[in-house]
Amino acid sequence: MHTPVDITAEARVFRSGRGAHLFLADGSRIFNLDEELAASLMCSLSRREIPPELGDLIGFGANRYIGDETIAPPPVKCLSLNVAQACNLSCSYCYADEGRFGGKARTMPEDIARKAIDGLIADSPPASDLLVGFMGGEPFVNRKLVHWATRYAAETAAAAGHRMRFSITTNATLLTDQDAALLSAFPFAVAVSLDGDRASNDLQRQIASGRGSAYDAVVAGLSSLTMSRRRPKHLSLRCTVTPFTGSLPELLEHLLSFDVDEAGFAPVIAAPPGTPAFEATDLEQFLAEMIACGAEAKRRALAGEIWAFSNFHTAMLQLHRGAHMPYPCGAGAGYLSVGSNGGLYGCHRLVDDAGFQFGDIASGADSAARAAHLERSHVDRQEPCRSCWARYLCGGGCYHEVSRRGRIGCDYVRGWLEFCLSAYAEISQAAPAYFSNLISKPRGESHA
Amino acid sequence: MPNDLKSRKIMPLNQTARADVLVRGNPVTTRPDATVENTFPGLEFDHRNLEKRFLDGLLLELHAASGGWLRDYDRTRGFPFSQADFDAGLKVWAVVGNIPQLDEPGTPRMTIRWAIGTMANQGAGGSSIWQFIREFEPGPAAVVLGPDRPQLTLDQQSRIIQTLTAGQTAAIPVPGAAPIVVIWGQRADYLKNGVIDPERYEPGDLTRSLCSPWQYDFTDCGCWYWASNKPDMVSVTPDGPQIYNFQRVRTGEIAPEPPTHPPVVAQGLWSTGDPAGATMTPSAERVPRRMNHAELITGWEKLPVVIDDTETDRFVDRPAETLPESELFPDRATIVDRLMYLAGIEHALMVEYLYAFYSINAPRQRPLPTDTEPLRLFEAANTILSVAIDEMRHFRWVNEILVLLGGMPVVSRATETKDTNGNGRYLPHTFALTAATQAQIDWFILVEQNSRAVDPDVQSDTVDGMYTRLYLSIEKSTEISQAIKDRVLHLTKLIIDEGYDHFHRFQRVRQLLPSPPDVRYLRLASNPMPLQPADTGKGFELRVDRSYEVILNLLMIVFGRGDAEHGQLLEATRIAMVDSLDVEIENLITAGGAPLFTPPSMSTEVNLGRFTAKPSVVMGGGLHVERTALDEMLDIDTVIANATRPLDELNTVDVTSADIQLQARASRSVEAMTRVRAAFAKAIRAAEQ
Repeated sequence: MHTPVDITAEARVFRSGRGAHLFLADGSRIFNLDEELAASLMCSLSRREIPPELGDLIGFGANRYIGDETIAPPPVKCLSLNVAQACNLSCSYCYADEGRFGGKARTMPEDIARKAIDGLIADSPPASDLLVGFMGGEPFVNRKLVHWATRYAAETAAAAGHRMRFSITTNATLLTDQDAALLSAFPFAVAVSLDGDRASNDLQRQIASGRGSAYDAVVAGLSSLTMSRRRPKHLSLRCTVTPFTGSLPELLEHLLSFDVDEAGFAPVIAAPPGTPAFEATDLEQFLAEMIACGAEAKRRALAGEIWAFSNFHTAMLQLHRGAHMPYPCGAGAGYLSVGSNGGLYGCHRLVDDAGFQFGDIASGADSAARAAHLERSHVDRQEPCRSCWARYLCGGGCYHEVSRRGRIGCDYVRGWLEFCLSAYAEISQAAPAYFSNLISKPRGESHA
Repeated sequence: MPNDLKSRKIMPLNQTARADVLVRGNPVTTRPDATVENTFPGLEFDHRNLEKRFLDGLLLELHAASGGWLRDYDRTRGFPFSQADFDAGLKVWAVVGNIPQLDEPGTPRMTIRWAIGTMANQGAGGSSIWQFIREFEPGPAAVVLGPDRPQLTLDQQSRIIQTLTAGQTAAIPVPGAAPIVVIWGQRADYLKNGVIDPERYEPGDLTRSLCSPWQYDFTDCGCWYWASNKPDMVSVTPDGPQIYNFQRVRTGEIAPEPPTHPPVVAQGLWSTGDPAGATMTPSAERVPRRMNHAELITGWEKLPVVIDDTETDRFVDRPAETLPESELFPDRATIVDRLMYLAGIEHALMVEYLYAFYSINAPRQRPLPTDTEPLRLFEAANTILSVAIDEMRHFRWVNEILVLLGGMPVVSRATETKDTNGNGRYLPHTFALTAATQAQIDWFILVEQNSRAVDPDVQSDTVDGMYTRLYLSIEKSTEISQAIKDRVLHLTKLIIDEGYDHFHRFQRVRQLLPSPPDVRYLRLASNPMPLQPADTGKGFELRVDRSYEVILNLLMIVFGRGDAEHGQLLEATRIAMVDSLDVEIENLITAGGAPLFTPPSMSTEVNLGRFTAKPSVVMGGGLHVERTALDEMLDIDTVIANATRPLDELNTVDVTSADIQLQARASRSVEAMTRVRAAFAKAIRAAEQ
């Protein structure tokens, strides 16, 4: 990198109830500052000068945590199977267009799942930790395949000396006792989607057949999972937020009233035409709601409690570790998604998107295409990312959302991270046990 | 903790920040405010020593179990007690200062702490008083001193409080006894940015009461944590149990019971300072096979080294290196002769290094971290410069040794290396102004190479080897007094040790510079020719030579003063090198020239205190200074004015020059020379008072 350093993209002074702090983008390093140093750093940064105090801290060249070189495509260790590109619910916002991804509803045949799992296992380095995810649509529309593929993947992986885990995202409305037994017998991380209380959930999610309340059906499925002897290894609630969702803190209380390990929010950014997705201006309100939830989580953390708000938890853990990456996620790198027709895509959201197809199960993952994707997607080569201090925390934004909507959520992402940095500075000093509790919490491990 | 301790700090918070090896500054454990704040032996320093000067002008002793004592005071301050009161003994009766309040942080409260009570034997020991003083925030503070008295009367207490409340420094008369003295002042500000102000303490002041392997109370460390960076619990074998305290004679040996002996420092002497009160009772050693006090003092180096919390099971007793008698210099005269030769060599090396530094086309300011290539050149050039500055110090030290051995300083510059022993073993080299090519850097590496392990059969007489030989010869000499040896050997060893560091630094330079034959990074050619009189840069060329002459003149003053100013003169000379010589050279190079470092000739005879510098041109036009009978010493201002005269004279001409750049440079130089003269005069005057 021979371009001059944009210091405002490398260093940021922020404040918390504990005083002034410094965030360095490279390595996501966080420091305490005294007031005098904070003032002088802010002056330097506002003049876009590299403060002499930071001369040794801001890495360059080989000393950087994140260089500008592209990583070679790593072995795929995480594969999701879109077992059913069809759904029994019709959610207005669904990126998958009710599971059909804009095409015809279809389910994955067994031989495609078998070849995909065989390929995953054959191409993994010895003794890998592998993950098979079941996605949809609603995966349990194709119940038979979920049951068969779980057993097949577990057995084949064990025989090959790998450790296999599973994840599934489900609306839980179709769950049977046998399904619940499967999800607890194998190491599953189960994410159940529920968008609010009965009124607000049912407003945007209806049972396709038109009979009964979707909310009641989700709650019934959820209760079959929370019965202690059947409980999956990890159970979370995912709440999709639209501009019409309303107050999030109350909603979060409601979600956490179910006996789940954690619950969190995801805003609708990319949705089929004519359906309610966030605009940049709506995101201001969403940010305020998220911070209200985060503030409550912070208050409880400082009081020694854990309030299982997953967005907040994840952020705290990532900041504590100093997580830093030049990509938003592992899509196209260590993670691929198999469409019901056998195509390999960057992720479950990008199924059937030719721009993110990286081979198919017949010919295997296309390394050249994945390498090109990683080369193209390095956050230091994105605009306006490369001049943003949050780029190694954000990674440049979800490929699916960015390819559909552009980067409309940047202010939201920065606002949320700013809040989280400040909360981290306080919790890590006033209640450091939060992190040991969180890390050792048996169900606190995130799988997906 | 005073607020200024918290200033300008950057402390890692999350895991990547903590793991970052590039965190600026020393580890937190090395900062005085981050040490284990404790006075127990074995820690980084004894905090009681830090607080003994908490009020300006008073020196308190806070180690005695009997309380705090006034040990010294500034006679010029007019404190309200007499020398007789002091001689009779003044004890700390109370200390007063701002104490932070737990319930209201940020609003310290003025608080009094009594060191003696209204009941008999109620007094506080020195450590208790210290514990209170260390809490004092910046701002007003006071001490109440009085005669050694076990008990305070209620009347005395109320009169002391009245005086304190009035904020007065005053004596309260006590009929028939020494007065009670209340002294107000500002709580001393010892710590600046977490660094102890070296002006306030003598060497050894802060650690004097710590236990160290070579100090008496090492074996008396009774706690379960040894100093934070040293092991307390060690294993004798890698898998063996950990044993508390590792001061044993030898692992695995059945050691004889150590003899009972009196303590080396009498018990009681330390705590009271009074030899009469010292207990001389012999104390039995605590544990057989552990080294006793006397053994520890005489054989501390036999303690096993602990690596990875395990004692090493063997050590090599490596005898100090030596040379056969025949290899040593036979007498003082030969030693002086070799030193004179080495002084010229150091000077010549310094000039070669400087030329190499200027020859590199590196940016003047540190480039942006992303500018890899310019940054490498910048680092390479500045590493060479740092060695050149060290050489100036070596040059000074060699001359100091010369003067101490009764020789004369040498300011001349060697033109080549010589086979001083006539045995053909030397590094032949003709000194020249050579650009920083790889070949030249290889020469720098060779000349700085360590030859501490002298093997006369194999190795050349390197410069370093000659210092080693000098060291051993001086050590053995019967013509040199021990007092002189103590000074001289120390300086010689410093030169040897720094040379080894130079070797490493030049290796680094070689890595930083582009590989040959790429010499595009150079901006000066080797062996530059003087500019023609009509060249625009000619004026600058003259200015550079004059600046060089001024530096040498200043060094002459430094040599003449010895160490009277504790290095401040050399520091001022270094400033002259940066403010004057360096700027002049940059201007010259911009104008198309190159520095010639023409050896000046000296024109006036100067008595510099320890010797008289007399002009006498020897050795290729260089300067050589001869000792003459003491004549009248010039006053300081004249000596300094003479030193900067070569440039001052030129400045008066150049400020009226038609060349605007020359004019600007001259007026800047006038300011620089004024600063240098002021720095010299200030340092010398301060030393003479």
